Amino acid sequence: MKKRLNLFNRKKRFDFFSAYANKVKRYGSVFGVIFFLLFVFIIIQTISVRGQVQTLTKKKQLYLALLINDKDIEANTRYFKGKQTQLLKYEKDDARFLPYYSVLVSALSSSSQSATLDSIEIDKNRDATFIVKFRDYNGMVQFLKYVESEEFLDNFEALSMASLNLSRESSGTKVQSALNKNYQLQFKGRFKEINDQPS
Amino acid sequence: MINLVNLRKIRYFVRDYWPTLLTLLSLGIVILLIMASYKTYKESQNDLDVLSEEVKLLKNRSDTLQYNKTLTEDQIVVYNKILTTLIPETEDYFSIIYALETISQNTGFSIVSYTINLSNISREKLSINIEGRGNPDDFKRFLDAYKFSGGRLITSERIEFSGVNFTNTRVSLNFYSKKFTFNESVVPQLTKGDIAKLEEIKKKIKISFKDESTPTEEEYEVKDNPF
Repeated sequence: MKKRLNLFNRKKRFDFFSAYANKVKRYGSVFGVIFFLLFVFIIIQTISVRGQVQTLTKKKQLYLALLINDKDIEANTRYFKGKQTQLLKYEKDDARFLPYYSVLVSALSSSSQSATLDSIEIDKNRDATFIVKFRDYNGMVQFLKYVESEEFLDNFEALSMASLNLSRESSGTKVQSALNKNYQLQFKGRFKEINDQPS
Repeated sequence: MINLVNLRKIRYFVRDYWPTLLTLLSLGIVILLIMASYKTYKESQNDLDVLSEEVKLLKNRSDTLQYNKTLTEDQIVVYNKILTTLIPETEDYFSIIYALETISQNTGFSIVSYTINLSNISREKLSINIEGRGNPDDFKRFLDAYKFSGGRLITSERIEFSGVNFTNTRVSLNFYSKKFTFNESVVPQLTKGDIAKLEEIKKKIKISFKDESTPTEEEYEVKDNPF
């Protein structure tokens, strides 16, 4: 068999591609290695995340088991809170008369000996109307001075005297026919809110 | 003929540039692998996020329950019975009368009459106007006790008290009933204040808590045959 030597340069084919071929090879290899490393990194991350998912799944099952055991407590707690919310809501309807009544009674007793609380009306907005009765004029004047004092007014957001009434009522037998004077002062106002209810 | 020429061209192209083609092919495969693995990673990450949130909620729920359990010292059933007595699920007129009688007995403030205020009735509130007699001390005891001591929650929106003749005291009392509905998704955490309030109420009311599981004795003989 004869061997022949080709003395011509090898003819370049696909010139349009040959210009980029070397660059593609060089950069392609570099990018290939980078992409492969990225792929390995993502796989490692995925394995790590799946491991965490497995751990959390076990935790979830553990908590679910605990919650199933405590389902009665959960139902009772929800019921408790629901009913307690109702209780707190309805309690707001209450006038909480006692602390305001006590404040007024103690104020009256410290102001004048002859002052008596004839009647009192109070609603849940702490709006109050009360009538104070006196047997003598001096007692009434003494009380009026006390009413204007800061000690008394500190209990109210607003207070005004609505009326002053003088009445005479007969007492004793016809023979005695003595006439007793009655002084009545009517006040209208609003109490300041008292937070702590005295027992 | 044309096909043969094209085939030959392709053969030459592959033979001349196979390393380049191999590089491009490898690059493509690696990119596809990255895309696929990234998709899997994102899915796993989403699963992890969802699961983390679920576990967090379950942990909170479990911790809250354990805390509530410790706080109530297994008294929550008793507290619930008290609350159900105070605010029954449906209105019970007998318990209203019983409550008024109990308050009257306990305080000495005698309730002489009561009328239902029809203008102030709603599904969950029943308003009753009462008239009572008693001296200021009785009245004070009544004011201190009416809210819980009858075994029902009672509020008063308006009170008229006559301090002189003790006969014209008129009080408007409200009684409440409401069905409980589960509407919260989160388990509520109880506070020491909640328990203290219930303990305070518990001291004020007398409720007997019979064990419902205890079988009751038959009070009379039962005959199968009436003759």
